Amino acid sequence: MILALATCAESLCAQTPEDVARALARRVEDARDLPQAVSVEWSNTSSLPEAQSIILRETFLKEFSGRHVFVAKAPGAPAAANAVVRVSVRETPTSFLLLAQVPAATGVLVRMVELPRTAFLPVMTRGNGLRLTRQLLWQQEEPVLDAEEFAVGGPGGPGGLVGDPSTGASAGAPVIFLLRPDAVVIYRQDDDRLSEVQELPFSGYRYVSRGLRGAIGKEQDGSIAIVLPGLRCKLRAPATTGERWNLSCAAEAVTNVADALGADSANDARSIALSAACQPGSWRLVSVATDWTQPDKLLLVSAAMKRDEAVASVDFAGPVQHLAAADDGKSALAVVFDLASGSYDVYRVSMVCGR
Amino acid sequence: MSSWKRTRMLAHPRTKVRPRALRRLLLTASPGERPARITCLLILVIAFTCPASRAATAPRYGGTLIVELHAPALVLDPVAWKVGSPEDSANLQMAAAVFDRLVTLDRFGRFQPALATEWSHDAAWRRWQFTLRSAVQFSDASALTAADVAAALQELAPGLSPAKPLVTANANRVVMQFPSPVPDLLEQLASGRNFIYRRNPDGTLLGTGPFYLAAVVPAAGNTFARYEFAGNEHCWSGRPFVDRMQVALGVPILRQLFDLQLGKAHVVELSPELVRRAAQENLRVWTSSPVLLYALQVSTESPAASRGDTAAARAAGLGEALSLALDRDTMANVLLQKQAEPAASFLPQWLSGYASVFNTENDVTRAKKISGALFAPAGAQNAQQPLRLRVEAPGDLARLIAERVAINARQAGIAVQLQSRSTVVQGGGLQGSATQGTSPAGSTTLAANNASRAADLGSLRLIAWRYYSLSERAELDAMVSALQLARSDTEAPSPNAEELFSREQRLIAARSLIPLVVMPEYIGLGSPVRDWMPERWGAWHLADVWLDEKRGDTATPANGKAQP
Repeated sequence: MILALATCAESLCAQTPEDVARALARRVEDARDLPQAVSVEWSNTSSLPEAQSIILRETFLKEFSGRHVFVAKAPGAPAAANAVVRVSVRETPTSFLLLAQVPAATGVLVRMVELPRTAFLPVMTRGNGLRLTRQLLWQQEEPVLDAEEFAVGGPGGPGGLVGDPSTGASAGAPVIFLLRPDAVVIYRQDDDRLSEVQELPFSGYRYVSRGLRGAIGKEQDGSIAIVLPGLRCKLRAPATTGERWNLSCAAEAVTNVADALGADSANDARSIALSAACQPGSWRLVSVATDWTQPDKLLLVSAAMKRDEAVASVDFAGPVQHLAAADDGKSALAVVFDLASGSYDVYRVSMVCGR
Repeated sequence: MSSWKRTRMLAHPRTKVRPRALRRLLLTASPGERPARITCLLILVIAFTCPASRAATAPRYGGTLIVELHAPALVLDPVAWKVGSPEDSANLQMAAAVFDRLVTLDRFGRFQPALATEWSHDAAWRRWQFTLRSAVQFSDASALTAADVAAALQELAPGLSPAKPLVTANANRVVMQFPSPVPDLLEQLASGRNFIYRRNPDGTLLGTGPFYLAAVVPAAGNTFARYEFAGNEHCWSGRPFVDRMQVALGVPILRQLFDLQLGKAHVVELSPELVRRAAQENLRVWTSSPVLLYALQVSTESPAASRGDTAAARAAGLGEALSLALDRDTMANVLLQKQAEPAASFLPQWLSGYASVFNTENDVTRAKKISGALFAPAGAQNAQQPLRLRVEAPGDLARLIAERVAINARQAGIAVQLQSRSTVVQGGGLQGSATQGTSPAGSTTLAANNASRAADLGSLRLIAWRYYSLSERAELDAMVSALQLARSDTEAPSPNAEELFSREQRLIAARSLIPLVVMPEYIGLGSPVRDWMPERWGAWHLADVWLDEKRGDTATPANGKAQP
């Protein structure tokens, strides 16, 4: 969806959070009657992650130290300088505020700068290699309806596939499919990052569903099937080197959307099977959240045991909205809606043997 | 078979389990091996039937959501609402289920496209252009046009801040031209009464939202009046999860709690005094950010011109004395049982970000000194005449707060007489309570017929203000306008945080409105309610709610009977 966003305030456009912190430092410096030796007390009372707050603080202090001797001070600690400049990070529905209370002869001056909350939205598009039990593969603002990994080429892979790194179609290599409301995107995993192979939009299709309905599956002939409300598509792997993936779609009338999609609800197992070469036996990954309002966790449960006898767990910052086993059954892909950042994250969840 | 099911089967064609083979597998095992084989079979079944699954329970469609409200009637026409009125809170929630906005704001501070998919503005922030989503239909399946959008915005334009725009429609675009910069237009359009609708010739409204009003069933005998909403199959954002929504009106707060306990209602309003009880009974309670402000408005109706005072100075003195006398901490923590927060500013912290810079100073000694100086010149007899305190905020809670105000004022040497109002304040949009009466607060309760002499000393109003806008500037403008607070002509209509802070600081210093406490909205939720994901500023998002009838008690989708 293309947006011509015009949401930043006049003074904020094209400013990074660090620019804004520097601007506040200059405004505080310009305040009259400020003694040369001041200490700065920095606090974060907003939902801004502490790591971001620290970056802002360091930027502010660096800019501020140009003209003033200062002592950075923890909240509540006794003042070590003539005056204390109190800077706090606060928030409104649309902005973060950096608010400085500056001592002056006339009282306390208040100086503020604001920066849009969107300045801190996730911009990364690849994981940072968390390898214990989960690995962030992908993060985006647009909804992810389904994430599946299939080995392509070789037995069980899409028919007629030949090795071609440019299309992600090297024989037997796993390929990750991310289903968005407007397109299916094919990725290849290189070490800890995903590289986009091809994006195939659903031309002329308008996605309408509150329940993030949509699924990717593998057909008997090895092709990839995609089902969305009112649409069924078939995705074929390249037959020869240099070719691209081919997507063909057809409208599929659903007489009663509620019934058709609600039918899936009955099959709401919320668990998948998982195996690991180093651990004999069979295991299940079980999601525990009851709806999409709460952070979720995946429990690792021996297939022969009950849920409350989980041997390990992985926490997430939001509900696990979709869980799918990789083709080899050794790992799973989890689509998580991060309740703190509003991003859709795709994790690979694996059993890690030993330390 | 649905397309969804077919996909799953195609993806996993190996899921067939032959009963005969299963029996053979079990029968050929020794008794000791059977449990292990059964386990293996179960694992195989899980492995082949659930290679991909919905994780945290996926939403389900169907059912009837039962909502109970205290409000005796619903007014879905945004034009009829009064800015800041707590009475219109229910109207806003229900209108949001029926109408859409041009844009919405999500909890992460992102403006999301709704009926508008693109927007832009000129460098001066005066001309805004919105491109409309195509193929949007009203609930009667007629198409939404740019003219519909322009007409609705034109009707609602007087409520936009700082000035009314000229709205024009052109193909699939709507242009709003303002006489002064409006950088916070998106915040305004994403909140308040700025919904898009089509007004029919008979005055009724059509919406594009997830529900439409299917029936209005008036109260009859001992049943409550109710509005019945049905899911809009034409909704561009998808039909709601529930099929229908029944909204019972005029349900007493205590009755709502009982209905929630008995599983007869899914969503009810809770008053602050019932929140603790609900929590003790393990009921689900959702709390918004503080959205309701109780404040004391001070005015000198008949300035003491004979004494040479100006009305403003007198009001400011009285306001300062009262402000210092008021013990807001006790109001919030004892009287309201920690269900409210002391307020020192007009705008709440969650909206302005700077509210906590203001202090709530409680200094009775200084208050006494100021009130002494204020009343002494008038002579001993006049000094004893009480100030009238009209309780214009609705509900019993307002009376409790007013009584506390009277007690605090008396401690500072200011006599206060409580009055309730049954009339509606024109322009202010703040409805009075329907009852008449005087306070039981000891010596502060004086005869109502002293009013004429008290007018010489000024009057007080206890008001409640419901925050509606996501624009701090628009909210403050609305407050200043509706409550007729002093407003300097030199103030620039800027949404800049620092300028807003300075402006609010001046307004607070004028003491014509003394903030008392801010209070959140409390909603009780039935156990089947899932995906209750309101915004912290109070928007409910009823279309996203679904019912998990397997897990929770089932609400009876019938109108409950009123208790005798």
